[in-house]
Amino acid sequence: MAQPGKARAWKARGGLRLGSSNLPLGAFYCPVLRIKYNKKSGLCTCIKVNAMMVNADIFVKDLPGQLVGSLEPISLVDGNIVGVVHNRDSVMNGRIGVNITFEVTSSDALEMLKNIWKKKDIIISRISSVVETFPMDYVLIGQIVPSQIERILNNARKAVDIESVDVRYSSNASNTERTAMISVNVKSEESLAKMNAFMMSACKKANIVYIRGVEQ
Amino acid sequence: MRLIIAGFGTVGQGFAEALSKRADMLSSSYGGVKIVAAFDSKSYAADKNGLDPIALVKRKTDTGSVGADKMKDGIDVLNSVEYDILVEASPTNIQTGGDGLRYIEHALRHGKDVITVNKGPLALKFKELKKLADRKKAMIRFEGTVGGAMPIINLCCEDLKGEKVRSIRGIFNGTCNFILGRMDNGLPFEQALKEAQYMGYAESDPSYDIEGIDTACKVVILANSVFKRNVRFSDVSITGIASVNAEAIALAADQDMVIRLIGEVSDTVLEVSPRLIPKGHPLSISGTLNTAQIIADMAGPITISGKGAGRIETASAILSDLIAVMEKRR
Ligand SMILES: NC(=O)c1ccc[n+]([C@@H]2O[C@H](COP(=O)([O-])OP(=O)(O)OC[C@H]3O[C@@H](n4cnc5c(N)ncnc54)[C@H](OP(=O)(O)O)[C@@H]3O)[C@@H](O)[C@H]2O)c1
Repeated sequence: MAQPGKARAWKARGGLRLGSSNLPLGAFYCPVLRIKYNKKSGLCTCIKVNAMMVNADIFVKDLPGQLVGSLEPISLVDGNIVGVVHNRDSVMNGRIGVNITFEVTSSDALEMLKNIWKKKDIIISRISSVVETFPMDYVLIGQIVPSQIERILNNARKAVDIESVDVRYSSNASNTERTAMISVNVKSEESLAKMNAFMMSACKKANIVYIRGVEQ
Repeated sequence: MRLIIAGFGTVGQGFAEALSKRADMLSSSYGGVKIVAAFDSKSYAADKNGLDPIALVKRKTDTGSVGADKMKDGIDVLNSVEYDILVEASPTNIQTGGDGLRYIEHALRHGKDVITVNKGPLALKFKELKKLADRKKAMIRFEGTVGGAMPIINLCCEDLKGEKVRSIRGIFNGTCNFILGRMDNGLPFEQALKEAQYMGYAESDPSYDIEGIDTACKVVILANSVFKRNVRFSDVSITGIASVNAEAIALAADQDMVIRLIGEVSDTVLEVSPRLIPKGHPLSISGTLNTAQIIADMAGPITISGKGAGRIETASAILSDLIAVMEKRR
């Protein structure tokens, strides 16, 4: 059973590229680990969700209970509120502006939320677009030289829509064997499948042992 | 119900003990279970009125033989004794299926129900055996072949019948998992393997485990039973753990990951290979336990874990199959 203390470990890779220029700097978010505590069994279960971080400006009626009423639907779609700024200076037709940052697990959940807000007569003035990325790690073992890895990755870039790549080498390289770790982010699930197939075949050709991560 | 036990080693004896332990329940709920014959590689014991399971175990322990009578071929025992269910626990042979395959085919051909823990016959001839069983209106059950006491096959095929199981990923070999877990603690592969052998987790010839063959057999059984595919051992893409070195473990640890030997099955995947697993993920466990993550379309991820091998643990899987057969035959 996963331990809550390990949450950080699972959080560190991959994530989401926020596509809106309106977004705050550094708004690059990772898949998050949610820990569910079962009171009855006393067990914690870790669920990794490829969450989307969303930032929205909405206008709610300046009446008691309206702000809470606008936040509740986020939980209804299984979202997670990260921050709320109640902007009393931004007033429009008797409504006040609220800036909310939250996570949802899919674009379907986001659509559902937008519908609920509309039904509740909450005006959405801006909602950030988000681009999800898919992370994968590979460990390569064999007679590896950095130029060879470079070549493999250049060829991979031609075949696959790669968002980012990071390569690390083991410090303890012997004359005969070297180990490298490649971490990539690609733009779609299809690209991830392509990348896996590409790496598998490239490593087979080069007689390199290839260990890949698990798709989340 | 009249049983024959084929193979009276660790598992066969464990099952005899389990029958003795549960004798009252089996008698009150199902009218009782009798062992009418048991045989090992060279000897057999038979009694149509039922053999005492504990006396069989004692005889095997004291003399090395389950019975006083010599035997050339187990088929002769199957032919000479009236029985309802064959419990097959002879050694696995992944090249030919071995005698276990012959016993299973013989029993099914005669319309007898079969419970087996032997992966070889199923990894080689799953479809044929299932067809034969269906044709003869016999049952073949094999919970103990994958994950020992971890009830994965019956969970997927019975409890999750209404689900579409999308994929199963798991740690199905305790020996490999023990070795990789020790490597996380800084032990080189060779030393971790020696430790596994010293602890009795690995055989003196560990190739069956570390080359991924054992896991591949289990992956084939899951593919055929849960995903209704028609695959054989030779269809599995297999990479063992012998090439995993300390640097790979260290690079993975640097990124808060571990390396584990994972068997993966879906409608399109059939693979055994070392994989990078984030720490904290259900498949990142160390030690000899087996763990599987089932992804179902409605239920989502379901994780189960249990002892993948062992005398009484595997016997527990056979017992669950036995009860399922008796429920259906009531
Ligand atoms: N051990 C586990 O935890 C475990 C878990 C899951 C599945 N399994 C599977 O269960 C089966 C039995 O495993 P085990 O650990 O009990 O093995 P084991 O201790 O080596 O016992 C094998 C038994 O089969 C007998 N045998 C050998 N050749 C035979 C033949 N041709 N006909 C009939 N019996 C024969 C042996 O006889 P002798 O005693 O005369 O040598 C012995 O009694 C294997 O297929 C294994 O893969 C084992």
